[in-house]
Amino acid sequence: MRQHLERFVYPLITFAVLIIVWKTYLGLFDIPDYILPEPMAVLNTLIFAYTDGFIWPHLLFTLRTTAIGYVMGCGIGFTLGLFIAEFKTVEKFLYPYVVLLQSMPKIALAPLLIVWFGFGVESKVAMVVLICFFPIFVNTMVGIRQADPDLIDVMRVCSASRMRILFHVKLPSAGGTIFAGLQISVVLGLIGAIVAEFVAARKGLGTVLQMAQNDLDMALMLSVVFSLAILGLIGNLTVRFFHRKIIFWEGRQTQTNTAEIS
Amino acid sequence: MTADTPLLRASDVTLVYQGKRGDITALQDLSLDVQDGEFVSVLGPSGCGKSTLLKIAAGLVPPSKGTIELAGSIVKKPSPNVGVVFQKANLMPWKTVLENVLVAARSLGRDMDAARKTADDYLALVGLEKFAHNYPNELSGGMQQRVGLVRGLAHDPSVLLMDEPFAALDAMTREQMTLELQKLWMATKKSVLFITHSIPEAVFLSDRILVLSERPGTVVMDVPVTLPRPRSFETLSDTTYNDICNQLRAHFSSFMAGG
Repeated sequence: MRQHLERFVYPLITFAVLIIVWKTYLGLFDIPDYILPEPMAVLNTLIFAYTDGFIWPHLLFTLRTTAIGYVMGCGIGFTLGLFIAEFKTVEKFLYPYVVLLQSMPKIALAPLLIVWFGFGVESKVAMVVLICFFPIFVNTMVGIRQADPDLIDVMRVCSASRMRILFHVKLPSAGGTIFAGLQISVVLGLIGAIVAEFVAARKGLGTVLQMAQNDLDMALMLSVVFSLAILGLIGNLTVRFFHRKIIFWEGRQTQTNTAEIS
Repeated sequence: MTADTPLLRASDVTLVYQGKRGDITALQDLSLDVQDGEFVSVLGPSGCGKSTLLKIAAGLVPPSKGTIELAGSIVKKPSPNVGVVFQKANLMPWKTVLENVLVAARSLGRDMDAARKTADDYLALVGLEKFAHNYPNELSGGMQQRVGLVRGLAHDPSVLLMDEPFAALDAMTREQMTLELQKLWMATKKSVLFITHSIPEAVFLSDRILVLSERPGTVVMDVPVTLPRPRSFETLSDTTYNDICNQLRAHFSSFMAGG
């Protein structure tokens, strides 16, 4: 009980201090409200956005594109990572191109995707797929390759089939690394969705951000940023929940092995 | 198979592999026999290729030259008639003790009900029957190694290959495990090839000790151990036991002069 209280109390104190610093800063200097509004103004805008409801269609749009792109990107990344890790021939054909694509900032491809897929949902999903693909791909490939060869020997010694070794040793071994990739991709996916919306979109939190910028409505901009942070947090916590449930044997603190940040 | 065909035979086994600065010969013309029901130790200094020999016998690594025969047929890949116990327990942390033990039976497509019964029996023999559904990280090192032991036996192989299975354990657990192994072996009468670098352990456990030279490894001595069984801690003060130990120590110190 005491632990739970402590977990909330300390960050809450930091938050209060932050608000105090914010208000003091505004009180001391003459800051126009389009640079930094009052904390209450931000809060009111935030509440209004959700109670009035104008933000919901945009939020749901961004959420949908991110979710769909995430699932597709992770699925493709996992499958390809698995094939390249398992089959040397596939690796020979594909690996150099994967490295090339990996080295490129995927964000730069957003305009391309708009031309190819149009202004609608498809281009946003494509961006998210592209951006989510790499962490999973690299982590799956590396995770499988790094499976303890002694454990593989245990299976080889009893003539286990390749599939059996894959499912009983290699994939469980790679599980932690793969989930770390899944966690990274949540936030990256959101970034991809927002950036694609910046380039060209009719709906989404990215467009709200741009509209707010045009209106010099900093309170709304901060509200959108806050909403995105919450979305990212929820996604992250969800992945972490499944990580701990599925990879149940790992130690208390699950390490995040970063294989790629785009 | 005639009465004097050994269960396991290595004939002129040579293994050469590529090191950073050219070829390295780990084993050279190594030959040995293990008869049915015999407990044979391979004793040698570090780096003499003992573990390599075991990997070849297990069918994990092909020899550069020579053959390994199991009951008369040449070993080209791992055989279901062989069980291996490794230096580290190598248990899969995502499987329970029982699931770990049954890995071979599943891979070999054995009848799982019978396999489970055998597994339970062996686990009871090493005192771990209550831990069948625990996970490896809930067990101590000694317990994990005991599970590794059971895993090597659970699919009822006729030959057990053991690669310094007690090397990673503390001294007290190691002594205990030596007794456990003897108990297990006398109950099951498997043919055992036991790799070790501990002289007292080799003499305590074996019917015969094969001494390996330094790299390139080959058999330089074949020492029979005719002490009666079951051997206990009292055997440690037996004259014959100590004579054999001293004989082996003398051999090793003669070519390991200078450390």
